[in-house]
Order: sequence, then C-alpha cells, then structure tokens
Amino acid sequence: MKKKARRIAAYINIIVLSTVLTVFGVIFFCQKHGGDSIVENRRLTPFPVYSSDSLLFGHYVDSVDLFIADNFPFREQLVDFSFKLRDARGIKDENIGFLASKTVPVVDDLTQVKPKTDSVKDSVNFDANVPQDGGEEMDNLLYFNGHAMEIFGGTDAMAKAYANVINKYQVALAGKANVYTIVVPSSIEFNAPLNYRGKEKKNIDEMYRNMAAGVNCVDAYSLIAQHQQEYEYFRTDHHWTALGAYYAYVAFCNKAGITPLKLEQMEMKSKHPYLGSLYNDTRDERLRDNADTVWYWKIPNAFKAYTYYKKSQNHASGGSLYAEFASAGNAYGVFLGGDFPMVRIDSDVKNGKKVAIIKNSYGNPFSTYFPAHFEQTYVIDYRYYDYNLLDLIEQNGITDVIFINGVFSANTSWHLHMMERLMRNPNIGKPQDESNVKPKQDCVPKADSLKKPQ
Amino acid sequence: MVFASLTFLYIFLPLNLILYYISKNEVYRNIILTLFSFVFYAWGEPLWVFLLIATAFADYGNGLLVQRFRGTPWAKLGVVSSICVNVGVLMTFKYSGFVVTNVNHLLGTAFTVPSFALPVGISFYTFQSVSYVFDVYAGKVQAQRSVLKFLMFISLYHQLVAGPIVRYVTIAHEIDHRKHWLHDITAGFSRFCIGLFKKVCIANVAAALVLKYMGNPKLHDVHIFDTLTVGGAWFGIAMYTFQIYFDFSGYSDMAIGLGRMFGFHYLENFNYPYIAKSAGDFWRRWHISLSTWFRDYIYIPLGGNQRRWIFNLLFVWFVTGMWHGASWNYILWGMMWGVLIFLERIFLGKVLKAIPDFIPVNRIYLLFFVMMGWTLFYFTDFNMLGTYFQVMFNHLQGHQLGDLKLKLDIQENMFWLIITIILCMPVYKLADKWTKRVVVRRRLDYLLPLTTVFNLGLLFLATAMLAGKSYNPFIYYHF
Repeated sequence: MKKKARRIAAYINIIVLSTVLTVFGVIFFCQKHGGDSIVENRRLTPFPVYSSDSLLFGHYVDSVDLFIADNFPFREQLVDFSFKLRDARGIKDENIGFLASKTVPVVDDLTQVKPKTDSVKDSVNFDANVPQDGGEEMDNLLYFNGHAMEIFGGTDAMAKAYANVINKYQVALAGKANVYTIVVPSSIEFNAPLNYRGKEKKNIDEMYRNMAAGVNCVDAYSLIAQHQQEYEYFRTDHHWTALGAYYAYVAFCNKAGITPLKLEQMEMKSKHPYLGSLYNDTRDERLRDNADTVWYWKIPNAFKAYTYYKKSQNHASGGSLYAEFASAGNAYGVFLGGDFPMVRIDSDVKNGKKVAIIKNSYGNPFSTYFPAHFEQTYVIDYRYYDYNLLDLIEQNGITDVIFINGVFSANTSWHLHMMERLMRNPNIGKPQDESNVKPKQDCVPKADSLKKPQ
Repeated sequence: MVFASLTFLYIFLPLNLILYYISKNEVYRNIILTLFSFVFYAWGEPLWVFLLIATAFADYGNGLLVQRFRGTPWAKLGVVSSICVNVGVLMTFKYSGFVVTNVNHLLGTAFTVPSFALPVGISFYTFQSVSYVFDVYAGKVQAQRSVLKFLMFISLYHQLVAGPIVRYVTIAHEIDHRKHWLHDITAGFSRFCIGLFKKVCIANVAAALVLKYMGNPKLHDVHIFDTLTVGGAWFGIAMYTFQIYFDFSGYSDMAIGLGRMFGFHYLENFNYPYIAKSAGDFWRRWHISLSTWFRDYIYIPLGGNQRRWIFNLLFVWFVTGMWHGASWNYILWGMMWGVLIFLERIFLGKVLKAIPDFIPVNRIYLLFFVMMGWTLFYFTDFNMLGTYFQVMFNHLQGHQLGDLKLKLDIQENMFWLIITIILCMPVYKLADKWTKRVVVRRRLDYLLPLTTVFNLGLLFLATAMLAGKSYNPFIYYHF
C-alpha cells in the first residue's frame, strides 16, 4: 500500500511537471508571435533573421532567447506577477523609497555619443522595433510623498556644453530671428526632500551664465517655483503637466513682451487615469494607486495643424493640436498627438510673427499655447527632424526661435548632438503646398497614425 | 544556454525528455543526450564546441593508450599527453593573457597580450577529462572504448558549464548500463525545481543588490564608493555571500536533478557551507567536487600529509585560486584559505574546537573570513578592492554607518532576507526528513502528491521572475 502510494505520487510528480513544461512549449509554438506589448509601449522581439555570422558569434541564439522570452505564453500576466513578487519581498515605506529603473543616470560628457544609454526617456528611436537594453537596473528614481522623480546628476561641464550649442545658433541666426532658451527643472527640484533639491537650479544658472549676450534666457524656474504647490509635475511620469508648461509659457511671454492668455480664457479638459513612464518603468504599486490626471487647456483661437512625418518630412499630413482620443498610458500624447519631426500650426492671428519651437516631448504641452500669439508655429522635434533648421527658419521667415529642454536632456550629450546636427543637415527645400491637405482641426485622427508614424 | 531560461525550461528540456524516453534503445538514448549536449553548449559557444569535441577525442585516445600499454612508458606518455592537452587548452584560453601581462609588467617587455574569449565550462570539462586518464592509469576504471559514450561523458550538459566536476569513475557504470528508476526521475524533477528556485528567486535578487552596493568591477570606478556607508559595504558583501552560494549550489542542484532524470547519479557538491565551524569544515562543504579533485589529483600525488605538507597545502590553494580566475585577486583568495587551513592545522583548529558550542565564536570566525574572502573574490580591480575594504572598516573618514537607502533596502527585502538566511541552514533537509517520517508513521500517504504542488509553486515563481526579466518598457515609442 505504502509502496503503491509512493509510486502513484512519483507518477503524478513526473507527469504533471513534464506536462506543464511541454504544454507551455507547445502553446508557445502554436500561438501567434510578435505584435505590441501595450504595457511596455514597444514591439515584441520578432524571430531573428539568420546569417552565418550572427550564428557563429552567438547573436542569433541571443535573439532567439529574446524572441522566446518576449512571446512566451501569458507573458504579461507573468510579468505582472513578478512585480507583485518583488513588492512582497518586504515592507515598503509609504512615503519614501528608491526605485530601480533600467535607464542609466546622467553621467555624461560631449566626447561620446551614446543614444542607447541615454538617461532621458525621450531619447527613443522611432524606428526601433526591438527592445533596447537600457543598461543595468540602478536606483536612479526617488519616490517621495506620492511622487516618483528622476535623481538629477548633471554637471557644470554639460551645462556649458548646452550653452555652447545655443550660442552657435545665436551666431547663425543673429539679425534673422530672436533666439530664446528655456531650460525646465524637473519634479525633484520641488517635490523631493530638501537635501535633493537645488542642484538643477545651480545647473540651469550655470547654463544661463554661459549663454551669449544675444540669447534670451527665459527664467521659467522662478515662476514654476512660485507655484510649486500646484499640480505642475506628474507623479507617475517624468514630464511636467500642462500647468507647469503654462507657467513656462507665461515666463516666455514676460520675456518677449507678450500678454499671455489667462487660464480662465481657455477651455480646460482632462484625462484620467494616467499612469506614466515612471510607473511603467518601475511598476511600483504606490504609484499605481496614485494615478495622474492629464489636464489640458484649449486656446480660444481657430487654427489648422499639419504634421510632417519622418519618411516624408517635406510633405504635410493632417495634424492636431489636441489629440483628444489619447488615453490611458498614452494620455500625454494629447498634446500635438505626440512626437513628430515637425508639426506646423497656422493660426487665425494675423500679425506676421512666426515661431519655431525646438523641443523634445517636454515641449509638447508648452507648444499648444503659442498659436494664440503667432501666425505660424513650427514645432520641431530635434530628435526626428532630418533637415536644416537654419534654412527652414530663413525660408519661412520665422521671427522667433525657442529652444526648450528639460534639464535632464540639456545635460545629455546625445541630445546636444541631435540639436547641433540640425545646423548641418541638408536643406529641406520649400515645404510642399498644403492647399490639398485636409487639416484636422479639432478632429480625431486615426489611432494608427499616432501609434506608428509612417 | 543556461538552465534558468525560458528557452531551456519550456523548449529544450521537454524536447530532450520526450526524445530520450521515446525509445528504450541505449545507443539511441546516448546519441540523443550527446546531440542535445552539443546544442546546449553551442547555444552559447557556437565556435568553442569544436574545442570541446577535440579535447574529448584527444583524451579518448589517451585513455585507450594508457590501458593498452599499462605498466610501460607509453602509458605514462598517455598521461603526460592528457596533461599537456588539457593544461595547454587552459593555459591558452584562460591564462595566456594573465601570464603575458605579468611578464610584461615584471620584465618591462611588450609582448602582445592575447585576449581569447573564455570558452564556457572549460575549467570543468578539462578537469573531468584529465582525471579520467589519471584514473585509467591508476587502474581505478577501465578505459571507455565507445567514442559516443566518451563524448557523452565529456559533453553531458547537466554539469558541463557549472559543475559539479563529475569524475568518470563516478558514473562509469551508468554510462554503460544505466537504469531509469521511477523514484530517481521524480526526485530529479523535485531537485531541479529547488535548484531553479535558488538560482532565480534568491541568487538573481541578491545579484541586483550586490550591483547596487558593490558596483561593477569591470567599470573600474572607485567613485561609486564615495557615498557608500559602512553598513552598506557590509550589506553588499553579505548579499554577494548569498548570491554566490545560491547561484552555484542552485546550478549544482539542477545538474544533480537533471542527472537523475536521465539515470545518472552525480555526487553532492554543497552541504550547507555557511554553517561550518572552521575553514577546513567549510571546504568539506563548499564545491566538494573541486576540493576533493585537488586533494586526489594534486595534494596527494605531491606527497599529501606525508611529505612537505606545508608546501603541498599552500601550492594546492594557490592553484585553487588560479582555477577560479586568471587574476591576482583569485590567487589572494585561494592563499587566504590556504593560510587559514594551515593555521587551523597547527593550532587554531584546537582552539576553535575547545570553545563550547553555545558560544558561536567559531561560526563568527568562519563567516567573517568567508565574507572577507568573497570581497577578494569579487573585485578584480585592486583599487576598488582596497577602497571597499577601507569603507568596510571605516578607514575612510566621512563614511556614515548607514543611510536611508540601506534602511529602505533592508526593509523592502525583509521577508526575502529571512527566507534566504533560513535556506542557508539545513532547514529544508530537516523538514523534508520530518515530513517523510510523519507521512510514514501516520499513514498519510495521500499527502505525498503535495510534493508536486510544492514543485509547481517553485517552477511558477521562477517562471514569473524569468518572464519579469524580459520586461523592458520602451517609453513613448507609440507617441
């Protein structure tokens, strides 16, 4: 009897375990592979293309391993469970913690161009279809009182390097356009414990101190600091909110002698819940339970927006200032519909003034206020725009040029390189006549056009 | 390929089991095991699999030569040839860069430093191979006549890349006539799940903490210790102490488990080393297959305890250090153990034994040197090593005892830490024994399938954590 029971238990153990291993393997082979991971905002690793070199040097099998891991049955549920396991390892402090992110903290200089290990999450490549290894997981995020924030590590040398890039533009545009620069502090400067604050202010001051005389340095910091009790930064995302951007816009207006719109003059709308990049990076439950709201203010003007995509940068397509369908993890995409090489907004303001805003994703909410004051607003994402910026400015009679950066990207050599290269890029030529392009003013573009820009 | 991967667990292993057990033909089964072993090895080392095969063929020939000409100089030639082949391979791929660098440094020469990519598992399979020829020479075992069986022995993927070092004599009978008992296969599955859990759920978690506190020695950056606290330095090395044990013993568990699934019985490689009471005791519990290998094939042939034992002892520990890596820190680490064992032999052992059990001085002594040893072992960069030691002992002024980061790391990993410390002690072994006794005495046979539930739980935890490793958010790709 005893022996029989042991035999039965042994059979059960062997059959159950080997069946589980086999069944998961069979499901893996039978299921559809590829597609997107909604949670991770990326395309899952496809089966690698064979080459004898890649096989001999081991890259091929590494890619096969990645392909299997990315397409494993019930992967998202398993990943979710793995984060629950991580949270169960101990007791988390409700107010403070250090969070691990796969991105690398800013330790940078201009001697290297390292797009793949960039600290700032903006620096992704639109065309990438495989996950990029962001490096080792390090505690480069701070959680404090409901806010997740990146720990700043910029240097004086990088501050000078940033000023140097802007100064070059000032020299090239002297007499042609007014050059403005705005460096935006991040959440840690206002929401962290006191000993973590102040480093960004010092860094921005160093940048502005090194700017050439003709550069108009906009002090967004002071106005944002004055309103720091307000909802200026997301708790779960590395960006600022449209309110934070509004105060930077007011600071710009003060510098440029423009009367800014009051918030009450605009229609306020919101999107909730929003779990942003820092939540996706860490999957921290304290952030999940404290989701953000994306507020946006719609200017009272009439306007037409045109989007210039990466593969046809001199051909406009319909665009939008507010992509109102953006939701959930993509809710920040409500501003301009996300990052495109160029978005042009023609406004009903007929004053002959044209502005170019050179930005990364930090500049998106900021840009939405400008059609209220400029006849044409060119929003150029320096990471994706592949033509000559100086020619664009000259050929289109742009009167004001604003360089806006978050303090992290301003301290990252790859971003500086991408900004500087716009001076050397080939000429775009005259953009096409948009008479046959149907602008999408306040209408909803197809979701696909935002997800995968062509 | 590694065991702790979804590729191995859910594709390679089930396929190997199915194709192996689909037929009872021994030759077929040997071919399947050998082919799978080659694929396993080539998965990570597509080029060096040929080196493995070449080494195997050389010692297959050496073994036959020794047996055919036993008692003649030709037999000795076979042994010498085996030593030359295996030591030559090791010297070329593992030590040539180290030797030339040191020669250049000492003599001021400028020889080009060779830089070979180290073939995975080379230290393990060369030792297995050379010990086979020795054992044939010593008459402990008959030479293997079948090329296939010998290739299978050398390439068996269960222990190929991370041990234990399996001597031919241990599994000679099973290579020729192995039985596949039900109790072996089920125990193999259970053992494998335990090893997988140790590797994925303990060692990998500890590894992330190690990196935070000890940094990456390959980056040669001492400045990462500028803000390290004294407590943080001790916490870091404690985590490495956990990592290296659970990683290595987890792999050994998986290897032993896999062996039993396929009818092989490999010897135990670890026996709760951190509960040892002396350095000698520790090395009877840590990487047992290596320490016994050095004892049998180097220490005793040199004269053992009978002749110039101090030299023999220190030489063996010098070589043990070298075996772990071509860098001076490994040699220092080996020598530290050699000196401790020497001291224990001449007086310290008696002192430690004289201390009553309820005063845990001997355990504290051992754990202290284990941690010092692992610090030496971790840092190949001597600048980092020196700075880290200084922080540990607060020689660098301005280093606080602890900070918020350390407090939070301990707090956020508290339950995991408790489980990890418990698993360093033979709790599972005792609980397993006790459970089995209760089941037998009280006739609770119907509870036996709970083992399967336990194993499934371990497998599920490990699978989730392996899947979690592939999580790689790509922010704003969609925008």
